[in-house]
Amino acid sequence: MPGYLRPRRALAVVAIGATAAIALAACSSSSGGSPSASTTSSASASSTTALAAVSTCSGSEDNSKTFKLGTFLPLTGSLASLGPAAVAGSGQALSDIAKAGGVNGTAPCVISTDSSDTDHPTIGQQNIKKLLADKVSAILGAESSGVTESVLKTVDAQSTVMFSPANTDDALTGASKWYFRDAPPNAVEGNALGQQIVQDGNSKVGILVFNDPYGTNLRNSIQKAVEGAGGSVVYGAQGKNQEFPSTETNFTSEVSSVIGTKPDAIVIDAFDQTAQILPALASAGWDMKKVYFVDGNLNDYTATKGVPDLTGAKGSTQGVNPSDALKAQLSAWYAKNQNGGKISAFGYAAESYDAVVIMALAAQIAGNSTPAGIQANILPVTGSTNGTSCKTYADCLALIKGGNKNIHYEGYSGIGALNAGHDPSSGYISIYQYVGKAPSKFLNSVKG
Amino acid sequence: MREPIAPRRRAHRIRLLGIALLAAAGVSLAAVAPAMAATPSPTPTPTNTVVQSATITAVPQCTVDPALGCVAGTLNDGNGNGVKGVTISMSDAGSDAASTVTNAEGHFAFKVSQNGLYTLTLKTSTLPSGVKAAVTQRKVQAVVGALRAAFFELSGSFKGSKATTSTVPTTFIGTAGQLAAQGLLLGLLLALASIGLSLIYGTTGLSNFAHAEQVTLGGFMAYSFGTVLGLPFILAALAAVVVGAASGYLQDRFIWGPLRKRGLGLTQLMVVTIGLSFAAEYVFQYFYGSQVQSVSSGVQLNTGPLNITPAAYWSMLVSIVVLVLVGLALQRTRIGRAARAVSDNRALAAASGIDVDRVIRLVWTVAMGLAALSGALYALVYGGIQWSTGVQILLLLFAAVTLGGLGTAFGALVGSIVIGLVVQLSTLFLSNNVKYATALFILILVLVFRPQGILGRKERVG
Repeated sequence: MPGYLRPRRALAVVAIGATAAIALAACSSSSGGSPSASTTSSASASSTTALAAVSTCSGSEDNSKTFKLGTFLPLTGSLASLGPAAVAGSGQALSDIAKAGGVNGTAPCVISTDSSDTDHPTIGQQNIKKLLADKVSAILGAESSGVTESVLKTVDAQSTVMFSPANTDDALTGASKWYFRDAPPNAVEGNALGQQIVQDGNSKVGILVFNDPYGTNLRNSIQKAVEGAGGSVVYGAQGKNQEFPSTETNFTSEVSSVIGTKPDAIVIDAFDQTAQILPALASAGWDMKKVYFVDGNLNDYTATKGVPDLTGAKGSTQGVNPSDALKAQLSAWYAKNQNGGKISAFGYAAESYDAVVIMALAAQIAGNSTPAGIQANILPVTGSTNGTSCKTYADCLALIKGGNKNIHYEGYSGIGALNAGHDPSSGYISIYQYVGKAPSKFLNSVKG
Repeated sequence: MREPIAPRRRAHRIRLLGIALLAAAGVSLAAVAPAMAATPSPTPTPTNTVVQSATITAVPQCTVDPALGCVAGTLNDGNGNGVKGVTISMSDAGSDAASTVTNAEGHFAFKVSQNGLYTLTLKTSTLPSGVKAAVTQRKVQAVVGALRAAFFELSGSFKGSKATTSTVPTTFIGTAGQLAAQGLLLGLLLALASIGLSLIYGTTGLSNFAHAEQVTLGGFMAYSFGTVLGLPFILAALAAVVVGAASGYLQDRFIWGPLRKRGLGLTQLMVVTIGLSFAAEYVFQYFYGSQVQSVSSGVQLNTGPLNITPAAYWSMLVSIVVLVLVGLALQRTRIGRAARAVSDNRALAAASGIDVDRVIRLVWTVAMGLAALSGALYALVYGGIQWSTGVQILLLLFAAVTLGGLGTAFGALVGSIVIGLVVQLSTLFLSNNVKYATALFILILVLVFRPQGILGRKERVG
């Protein structure tokens, strides 16, 4: 024990005493096996194989000559399960860029950092400062809207591009001239889910929504879609004050109330609370086929014992379901560069890939990879000026080298051109169906 | 992407720090109005598609792709069962049209290759007898690349259509009865924790803000021993009680005892409990993450006269037995009488030969064991445990203790049950959103008219 701890020996002992049992028991439970924040292996940048990761920036590169990508992705924390898909998506994009000849003739380099989640804001703050101090050309991240909101001021003040593959909070529309995203905002999701619910023959919809901007905004757009299609919201509607507090742990009265309104279907518009709502719904005899999830809780509940069998329940999430070919490619990349790691969920993989390619193409058009050069050319690359379309970095690069600087990259994510608020003008929402307790059956990808 | 909501919880927690502001906290809870910024729905960009001769095609199931839009729906009768064999036709403004027949689930779908306003018509003569359609025509604005729902409301039911049943009562009396049962259950679980809180306050004068973390600890121990190590729940709960009691003993042995000996003031001690509470929350998050961990082994249906789950019946029974045992121990045993003596007048108790420190240590041990039991049962009944579960009921615990009368064990029991009943029954008349605020409002009312609490004695106040 270090000497400086001695005076507080009593406290330390108690802390150990009170938590020893926790430690013992928890050792055997995995608390979300977070991938280590390891940087990509330093394979040669000039390598031309499709799977070779680009090298880690040494810090001395000039960001106007070398495309220095800083990744700011959830390697730890509550969203860590989404990390591997984004790491592989962005890593594969950089590999493809390097293979096609780099950006402005120089191989790109990467600095990988952990954004963690809003429960651990200091990790994200530190890593953003590190990326800014290293003068990266652009930052890919964060996935959590809350994390983005907490660091965006810092990034904005340093005039660096920040491109999120996964932020969906409506409040981020037009948040900064340096901020971009290629995931559609929540309003688009609400519309798609509302249509799906009514399409399944449910006209009276009960919404268990928690009192949080995420929940209420999404509820509003679901309600609008349901009502527009001829249905009605019988519980949890806007203005009815039937939201539950986000700190709620006991859902028996909410469940009684919502079922009491005799809805055809129930939407659970919440986060973690869902793990406690589902057993309460099951105890009340509710048919799980008539439950709808949103992106905040469309999780795999296989490991959660109290949750009933959810087979038949449906839910929506932003983003396109990547093609099997892309999934296989990303899995191979991840296994090779992350010590045989596996990707369990592919959410936002296509969006991460496209974000990196869009920024690299913007840098190529600008002729330098400074943040200002990239910032000015992102919108045209996404199609805002109806440029010549091209589908891969190599094809687009050939067009630019051929003298055509007005190109439109059509990538895997299938988004419409970014608009003035730097949101995709259209994007895809995927509807999944539960088989057992996992949302594994892909039903539909709809454009909203 | 979803955002964890901890900052709000923390703000809520900080609000808690001023125990004197219980009332203010209640009011502010009530004032949390739902944030309801209107979100504009995005207008899909019209896509220019090549004009084709047949824009409408009937399909069994429609999957959207970038060149195709879907218009689909499901016909359900009044019982919510799919109506099959009904003819639905769809036409555009021109001459193009298609028709289909609903399948066994009542589903129908059309795919379209052009944006536009389409008209769907239900052929009433094909509806089975007993089923009526309120509206037989509906216009749908279809968009390529998107799904648009078409809905026809049907009433009545066809022969053989079964009504779905749920165990949720639909009459006012039935609902009130179920909520009262839920309230009693919540009250009993709160009582297990609040009796310890009250005993500690009674014997030491300390308001233990870390008490709620002991509830969380109990839940996590039940999870660790039950779900992770695979013990049956009863053994896991027993282990949780043992760990909880041990943590109480160790706390008094290494923190509260020494601090008492040094004569630290109650305010400083209270700050220590707040620090301990924060530390414990972070330790829980470190080991268990921020997600809900489940301890139950499966899904149980509500049954019996109270319309609650079997686990809830058992939890109530265990709570009642344990609470009666604690009450008897306080009334009948030497150590129980000693505890009450210390609670009444510590100096006098010490003077009459009672080993005050030993009594206090026992009180800490028992109180923490009870809190752990409360946590284990809470996790079982309410579907899981999370690092913040305890914090979320801390306010209710303090409210129960204050309502019943600070420092009185039976007062804590009565206060807890009142709080539990008010929280649940208030939802009969008021929004679920304000159920805790209602409980705290009742607390304010009672304290205005009876400052010593329901069972407290007058001289204790002031």
